[in-house]
Amino acid sequence: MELRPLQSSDAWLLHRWFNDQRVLEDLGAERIDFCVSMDSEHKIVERIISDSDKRFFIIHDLVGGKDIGEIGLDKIDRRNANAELQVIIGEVEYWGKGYGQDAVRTLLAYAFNQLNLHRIYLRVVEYNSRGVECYKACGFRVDGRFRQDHFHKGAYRDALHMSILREEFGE
Amino acid sequence: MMLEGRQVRLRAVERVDLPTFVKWLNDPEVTQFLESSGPMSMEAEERWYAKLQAGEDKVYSIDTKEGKLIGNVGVMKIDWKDRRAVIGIMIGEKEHWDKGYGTDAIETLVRYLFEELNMHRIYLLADERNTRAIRCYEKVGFRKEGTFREDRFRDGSYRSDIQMSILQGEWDERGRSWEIGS
Repeated sequence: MELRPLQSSDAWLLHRWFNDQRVLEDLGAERIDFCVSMDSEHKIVERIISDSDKRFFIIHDLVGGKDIGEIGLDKIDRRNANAELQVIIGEVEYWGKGYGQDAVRTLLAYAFNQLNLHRIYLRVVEYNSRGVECYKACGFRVDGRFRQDHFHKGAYRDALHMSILREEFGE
Repeated sequence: MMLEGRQVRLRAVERVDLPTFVKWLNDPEVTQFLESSGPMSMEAEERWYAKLQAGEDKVYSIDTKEGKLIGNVGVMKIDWKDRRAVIGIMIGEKEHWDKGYGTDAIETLVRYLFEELNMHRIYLLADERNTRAIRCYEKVGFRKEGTFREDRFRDGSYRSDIQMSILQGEWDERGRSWEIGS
């Protein structure tokens, strides 16, 4: 697996993944639109790549030669040296095979060793157990629980806040 | 996400859908009970689409499970304080009328509005002579709550509209809420 920078021609990949109910299920009602058109996905990608506070990548499987997901840093705060990690494996048949962990570790190495960040944090819905386990395996710790954080499937659901510090990475 | 119903799937409107929409909007049989009164040009439809991208209203295309575009549904006048919205539907492909597609599309949209967007009340106006639509809304659980007497002029005469609504509690009573992991 390798990470390559997100570019405008990748909009169709995001259009495919962010319209897949199975993928969105784990993200916890972050977007108000429940489906996104090709036109608006193009705008979203343009916004991401032109914003210096974001660094996003496509996860490319070297074995199958296929683009399988997206990972990146959002809200990069240069003064306090922190950022929020976001990741999806958009191709469902690649779930549960370690690609997510590999991508997260690769991005953490980039964030700590190249961008000189100090702390990477993320938000994960509590029912995304695959995600929580992946982040724990990569060294993230639970900072806290956001009680009744979002409305999904007819009720308010919790989300977890997790983070990893530079000195904890690779322990 | 594509919202999956039993017979249909709701997805974002794409630019390539517009000529089909124009075809429907110029069919008097399709638009006889709708608010928009044709004729509609492609240019006007493109302006509508551009406005849709920028605005608060939402429109979604209705595909059959085989991928055929048969209509669209809309969510208008979204009010986040009162947590209510107006919905509307058009099934443009007439051979798909009276086969449950409209009911399924409305049910799928209403489920999303109540169970994901946490809306409290969904309401709409239907032409009192549009029995197909009224029956379809009733099947989903909407109730008639009043008549707007002669509130619309169309084809040479005044028409009356029925206002219908469904509340979140009424939707929940039907026991349709899903559990996580299902």
